[in-house]
Amino acid sequence: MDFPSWIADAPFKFGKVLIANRGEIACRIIRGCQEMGLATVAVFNDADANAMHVELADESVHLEGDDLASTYLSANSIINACRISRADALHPGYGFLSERADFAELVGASGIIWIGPPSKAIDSMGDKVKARRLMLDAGVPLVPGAELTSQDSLSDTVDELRSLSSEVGFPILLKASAGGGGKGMRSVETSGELEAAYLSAKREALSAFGDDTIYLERRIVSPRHIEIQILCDTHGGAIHLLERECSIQRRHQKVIEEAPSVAISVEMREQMGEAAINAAKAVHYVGAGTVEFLLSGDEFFFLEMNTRLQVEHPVTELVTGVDLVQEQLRIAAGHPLAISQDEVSPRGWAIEARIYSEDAANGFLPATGPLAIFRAPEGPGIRLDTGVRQGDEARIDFDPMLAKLIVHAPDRQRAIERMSRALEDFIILGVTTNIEFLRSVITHQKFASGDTTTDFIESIWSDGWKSLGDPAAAVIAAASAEKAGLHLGVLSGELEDSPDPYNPFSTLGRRYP
Amino acid sequence: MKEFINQTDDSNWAVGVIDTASGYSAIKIETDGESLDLQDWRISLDTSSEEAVLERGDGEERLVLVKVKDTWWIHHNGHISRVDVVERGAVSTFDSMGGLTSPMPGKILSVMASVGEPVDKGQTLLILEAMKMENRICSPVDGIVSAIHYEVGDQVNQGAILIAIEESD
Repeated sequence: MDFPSWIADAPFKFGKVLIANRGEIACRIIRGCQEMGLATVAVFNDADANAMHVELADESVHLEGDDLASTYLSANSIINACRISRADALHPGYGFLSERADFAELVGASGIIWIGPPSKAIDSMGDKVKARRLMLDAGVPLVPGAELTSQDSLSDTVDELRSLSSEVGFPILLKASAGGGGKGMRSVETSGELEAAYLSAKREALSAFGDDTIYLERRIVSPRHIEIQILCDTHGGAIHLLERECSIQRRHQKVIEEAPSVAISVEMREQMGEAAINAAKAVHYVGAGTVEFLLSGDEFFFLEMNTRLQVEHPVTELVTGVDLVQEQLRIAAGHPLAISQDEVSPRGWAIEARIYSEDAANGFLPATGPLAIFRAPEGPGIRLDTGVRQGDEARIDFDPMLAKLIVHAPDRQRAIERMSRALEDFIILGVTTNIEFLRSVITHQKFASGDTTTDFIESIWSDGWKSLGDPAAAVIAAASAEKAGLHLGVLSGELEDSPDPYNPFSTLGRRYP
Repeated sequence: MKEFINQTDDSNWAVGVIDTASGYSAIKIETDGESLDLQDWRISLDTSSEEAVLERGDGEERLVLVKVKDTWWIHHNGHISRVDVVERGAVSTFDSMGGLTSPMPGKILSVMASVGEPVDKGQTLLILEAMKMENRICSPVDGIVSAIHYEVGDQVNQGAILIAIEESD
């Protein structure tokens, strides 16, 4: 096989990368590989046969099966897809199998290069309880918390929960040891709510992660969520790529992220960066990873380490100029880091908004429907990471994130203005999205002043959020279009004027019955 | 005549539109019984771009709109409106008696109310699992549960009526 020149004399050579993922992240990784001269393989299930990631990749392998467990989540199917396509490396993206240590192990054992951290590092950090113990030993500051000794008998567990909660101090958070993305997590204010919250967290943890171990932590009230991006090579080199602030969340999931953070001074950045590198070194980390902290005043606490590329990685790429996917590829090939810590400094400001198919006016419930219109904003300093295009459908079986809109500008104020304009220009019709809500956040005075904490959304919109449209204009437009037959792809006036059945304007219109 | 229901604020509109040389113009528009004078508004449409240009006062505003099933989706100045088209006399898909419909397809995980039980606005009535998340379905009104149409473990479609609530006065 011919290898691209950058990898031709690397310790670990590969020429064809299988991306074990879908959606925007699969597309983003495919592009990163293609720029570096690597061939790419997509995988897809029945529902994704025409998906964008399949179209972008050089080749693709169909995963047979009716559900996620037998397709994107099936280690054996993915390994088999590598064999069929003769892929010699695998990038897991985020979610799905990306943080499954046994999968990383299996990939390596199958003679395929795993573009990610060693399985032991995934294992140590994936088990949040084990990670807490390791961080304590590494001197990384931790949120006060406790482990349950046994979770076999419900009545004993509830008794223990009560006594541990009063030691740790209310309000507390029940968290899934295997958790992430807010799944299997419940906030508890009083002792009386413990049992119901525990059972609910356990149930959600079991269905999301297949592991229902729960532990507890004190809930830090109104913290900021700050995380440090790190890169480690196979030669012991480790650097951090500054912070991201991801305080704007709903249902414990991030919605808007930015880099750098208004709350971080140069000294604090150094301290957190050092803590993050210590955390990574404690598990002999290799590759790209993120160490998450809660910041309360000028105190920070380790929250968890995500042993994968993160959804919000583009803001770091824009302010540091480092392509994280390409660094992952170089590290997997065994190259030392190409940049030193001194070369990393923030340039301007970047903000990311996650475009979800969900109803912000109705408790952020996921929404489904066709992307009958999908028109993305354009212009200087705008990046769109998407895995969908017009004509696709937002379906129930996948995560409701459709795309990520990222802007870059010389300073925070201008980044906010750019994001506001870009969101206003972003048109998705046919499925309810959070675009209008995102604009309410980004244009809010509290956001402008940098007063961003994890309870931002629930405190500002405690009674829910509502769209502020112009009902009369919308209704008149709908009534006119209805009368004219706009949805039939031809105006009633044109029918008389242009009997030509091959009129291109007639065929361009698409119907979604 | 067709009626239009703006889902954003649930307002009900009766609109008559005429085709004029300069575009479409409203001849009659009523919302919830009140007449509005919007007759100097003009709409022109472009099928190829699915755009409408609204002229009113001294400016032109661009709207993008598309119809999906019986609903028009309209983008206007960064705001999205959904307008349902209803034939007068036809039965609305919304249960006027306070029926609570499923916002998405999913599985009922837990039912936390019973028939005859008084419920408060915002109270959790049931938990629906969809997209691997538990979603709480809360009562939109103060009232009394008059019917529960599903049991734990049932799969429900989007729009299925889950629970009927009689609103208290």
